[in-house]
Amino acid sequence: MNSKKAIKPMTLPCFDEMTKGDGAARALYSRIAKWLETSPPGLLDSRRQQAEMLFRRIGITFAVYGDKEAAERLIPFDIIPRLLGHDEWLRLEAGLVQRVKVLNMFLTDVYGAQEIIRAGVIPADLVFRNDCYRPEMQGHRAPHDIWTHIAGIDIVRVDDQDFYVLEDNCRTPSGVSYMLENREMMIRLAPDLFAEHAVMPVENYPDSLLASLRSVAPPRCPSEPNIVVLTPGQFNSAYYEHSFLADKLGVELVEGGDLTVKDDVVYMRTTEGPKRVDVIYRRVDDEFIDPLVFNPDSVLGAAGLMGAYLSGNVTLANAVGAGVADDKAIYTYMPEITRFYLGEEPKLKNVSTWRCREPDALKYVLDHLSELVVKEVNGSGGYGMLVGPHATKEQIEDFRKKLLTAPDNFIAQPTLSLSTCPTSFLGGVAPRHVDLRPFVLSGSDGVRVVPGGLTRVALKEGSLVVNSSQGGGTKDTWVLETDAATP
Amino acid sequence: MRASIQYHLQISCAEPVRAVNQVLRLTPRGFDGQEIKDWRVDVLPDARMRRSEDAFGNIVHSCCHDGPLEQLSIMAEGDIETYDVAGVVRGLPEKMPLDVYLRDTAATQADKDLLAFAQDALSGEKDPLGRMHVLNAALNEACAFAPGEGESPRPAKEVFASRTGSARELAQVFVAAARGVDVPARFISGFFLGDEGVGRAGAHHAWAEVFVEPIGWVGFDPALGCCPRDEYLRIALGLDFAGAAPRRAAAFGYAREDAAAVLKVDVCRQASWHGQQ
Amino acid sequence: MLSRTADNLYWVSRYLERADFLARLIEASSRIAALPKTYASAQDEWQSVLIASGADETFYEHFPEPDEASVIAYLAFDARNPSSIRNCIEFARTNARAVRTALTVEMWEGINSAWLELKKFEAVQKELGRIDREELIKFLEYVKQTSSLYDGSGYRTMLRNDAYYFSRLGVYVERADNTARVLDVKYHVLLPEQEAVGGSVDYFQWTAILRSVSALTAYHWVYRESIKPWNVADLLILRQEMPRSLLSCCDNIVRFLDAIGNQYGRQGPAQRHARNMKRRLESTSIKDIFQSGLHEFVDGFVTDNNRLGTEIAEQYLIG
Repeated sequence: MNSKKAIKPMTLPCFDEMTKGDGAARALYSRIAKWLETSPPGLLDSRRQQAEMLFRRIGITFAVYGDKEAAERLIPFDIIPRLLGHDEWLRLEAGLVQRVKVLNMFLTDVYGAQEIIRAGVIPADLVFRNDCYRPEMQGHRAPHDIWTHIAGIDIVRVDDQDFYVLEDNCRTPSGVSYMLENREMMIRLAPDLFAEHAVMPVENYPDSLLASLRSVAPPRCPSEPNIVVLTPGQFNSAYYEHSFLADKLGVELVEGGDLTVKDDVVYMRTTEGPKRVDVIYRRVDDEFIDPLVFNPDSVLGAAGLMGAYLSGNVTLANAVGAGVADDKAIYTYMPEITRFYLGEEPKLKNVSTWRCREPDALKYVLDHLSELVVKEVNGSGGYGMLVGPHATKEQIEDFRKKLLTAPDNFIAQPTLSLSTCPTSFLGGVAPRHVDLRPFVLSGSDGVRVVPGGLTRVALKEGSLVVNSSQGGGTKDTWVLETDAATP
Repeated sequence: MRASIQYHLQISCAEPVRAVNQVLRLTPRGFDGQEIKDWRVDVLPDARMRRSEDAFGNIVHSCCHDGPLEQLSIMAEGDIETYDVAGVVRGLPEKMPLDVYLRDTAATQADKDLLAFAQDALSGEKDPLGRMHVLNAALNEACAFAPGEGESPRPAKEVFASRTGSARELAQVFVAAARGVDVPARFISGFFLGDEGVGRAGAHHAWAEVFVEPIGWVGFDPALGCCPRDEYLRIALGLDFAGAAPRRAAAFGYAREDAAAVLKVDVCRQASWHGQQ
Repeated sequence: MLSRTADNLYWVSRYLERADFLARLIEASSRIAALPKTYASAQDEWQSVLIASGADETFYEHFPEPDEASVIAYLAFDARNPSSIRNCIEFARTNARAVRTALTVEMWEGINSAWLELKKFEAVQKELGRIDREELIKFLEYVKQTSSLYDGSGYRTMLRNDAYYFSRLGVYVERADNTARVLDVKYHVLLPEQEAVGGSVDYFQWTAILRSVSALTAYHWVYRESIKPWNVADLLILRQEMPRSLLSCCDNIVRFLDAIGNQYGRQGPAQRHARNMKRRLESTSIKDIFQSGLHEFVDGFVTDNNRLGTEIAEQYLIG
């Protein structure tokens, strides 16, 4: 056996998705294990270089805020796919559908009758004083009661049974272009391996997205709604994805300056004069979509857009104000919220969470900072986060101060021993922690999930932070047609 | 007080702009303290005015002009009757959950100084309504009222630090301070119909309202150190000035345009019209 | 299509065409500058290069006087010069990136690879800290290839619709401007009286002009005689078959503007203006032009072409 490929045992005992405790590969991964064993040394390295070259040439890059030198960076791509069995996927899918239904019901309620608050399930201040709650939307019904048309639900595993939701993303979840491009890359770079596994396709995602967007077009619009993708522009970190999606959807990629609003109708400026717009898949945050209602200095949206939206002449996806549902503080109530609306148990688990706003919880958290992950309620992208076991003393003391000044802003979770997957890097393969972001689409005609999602991997040994801005990479996610790879 | 009101806002652009979109919050609603007999909002050049109601219950007119445009007039006029109800606001549809009025906005964030000031001022007073009177008096005492208004008011903490501000700015300070001590508060934009103080300084006036159990919403004017009386015409409410602003506009053009606004208000006091006053 | 998309496509073409022209201009001028003094009056060569490239106004903000090293550095690599080759490629790529979905994969990959390549040239340039002739030749070669590749892959892969038309329009509006500018700075060596005085000295100027618009070989094929200044002017202005002549550019501008007008079912001021420009060129002869003044003629053309650019922008690109 090639010593280079020896799999290093992790210091933390955790669930490895490929290898059982006794070192043997699970049935699902049997072919992958064999491939890793039999492929000549250097193959993975050369494939990785190839992938990097291809990605760079296509221009799949992302920008890191505040990092001028590397204004356009690649997200490292790992050639070893992450596998899910058929049954595992069905369980996960059912959970995702349930989760997103509940999120939409919650948003409809919060901006409408507020029954969940009156029933005392969620404290009113948590919702109405939330940064992502938009008072401007109060009393407004989103078309078809769909608020989060495109949701990204971050999933982690700790054993071969349960899926845990780490975070809901109800605003503008990104990463779906990587899911699609990673698949293309795998078909190109490991065609045999791919052909041997019956992998459920993801390439129909753009079609599903288009169908979902069409289904929510305003009732008054013509039979062929004009759908556009609204991007903040090419200096946005996810610009590649915006243009990628517009291209795959076959719709225009517009910037704020391309839109005008006249008498509550949105138009785009074209070489043939103004053309009416019916559905906007917007990748611009709430605060910037209309200088007449939100940030007055914004040029990323269009003046009057909210007026057109509220009068029902254009549909925005996702809806304005949807962010209140993916808040980390609301997250902790998701089991109760699910029971309240559906009368059923949540199919996906929540990571147990201490709400630091509650004095007992705060005390516990302060006493156990070195064991916990503390997150800022409104933080994203892995910023404003303390990973206790990996933090220095100063970092912990720093966070203690932050917690004491504004406990409401924080939640804490146990350090999960996230599952690991075999991951290749220069000269070897070793298990690395992973998570999964499946993309869930909601339209007036139902909920759609393409099998798979974006697997993010923490490339640093032992690291639990998978965010691309923090040195994470991605893998292709293969949902197999069967529960085990046929030998 | 019965009055005929004419309000005229003249916008002049330094260079012609290609198009202007604007929203106007210039239409008062009736409640126990005021009755609106007749009201019109108009713009020049002519444009289609769309009337709607925002989430806070304000009546909003929106309109779009295609350029090139150098001059823009906005008129609001009508007949109203106001009554002295000691600042208590009843008879308005309240659509917003009360907790919303505890939200911080960028313009109404209280810093340590303002918070300490409010807590200090309130230390001796237990009665909820009394506390707000104390706060209003304290702010009126601490901050000088500088009539007139710039383009957009400075954030509350900055205004408080400078101890001087316009009616809008002081109203935002009051809102910030009230929310800082957990009292729901909102910003009110309106007209001052009396001739003392602000009358000369411009038509616009602004004050604050706080929610006091069990009375409900009560107005406070930190600029003049009183509660609104029948000389106040209440027009729009919001979490801060930006949410209740009489006019918000965005222009398209080759370059950013500065709109130089000329404000003119003619308030006709016709006390003889009606016996009461 | 979105006005912004059309605008970006148009400008990608213009920037790449400009980069190509600058590369040829630098090459041609370097040859002249390398000639022994007796063969060419090289003193103001670099000044006229600056004027032809439109960089003469900003150059003096950074350099006291034009010499070979400073002008080449300024035209090729200087980020402070808005029309340097480096910036042209950078802007072209920025514009292309903003309309990626309107480009074919080949066009985008071509321009993106070129941009990545530019970074390498810049790194070498930075390390050397001066213009190295060999490195420069490689660089200019790369620039010409970049625009040919973009041009060619557009020709081969783009759908023939408005996106293609706007993209071609950019090429020809820019090309007409470039040819006219060369004529404008060199008109004096083309004037008849100069011929009598200058004789062989100007010969190299004439070839340089032809070289800068890559027409040296074409000249011989068209005229089958030694290089005469009025023929040079004729070739660059009135010869339909010469791809960089003003007439040929106008012909293409009219063609693509018409294509746009037909697709949209509506003609406008840009179409009318372009047709007028073309008609004026068609109804004149090189003799007329020399009689009424070459300089005035070329000046008038540059102004006209600029106005056309404005009209295209107002009619289509601003929206």
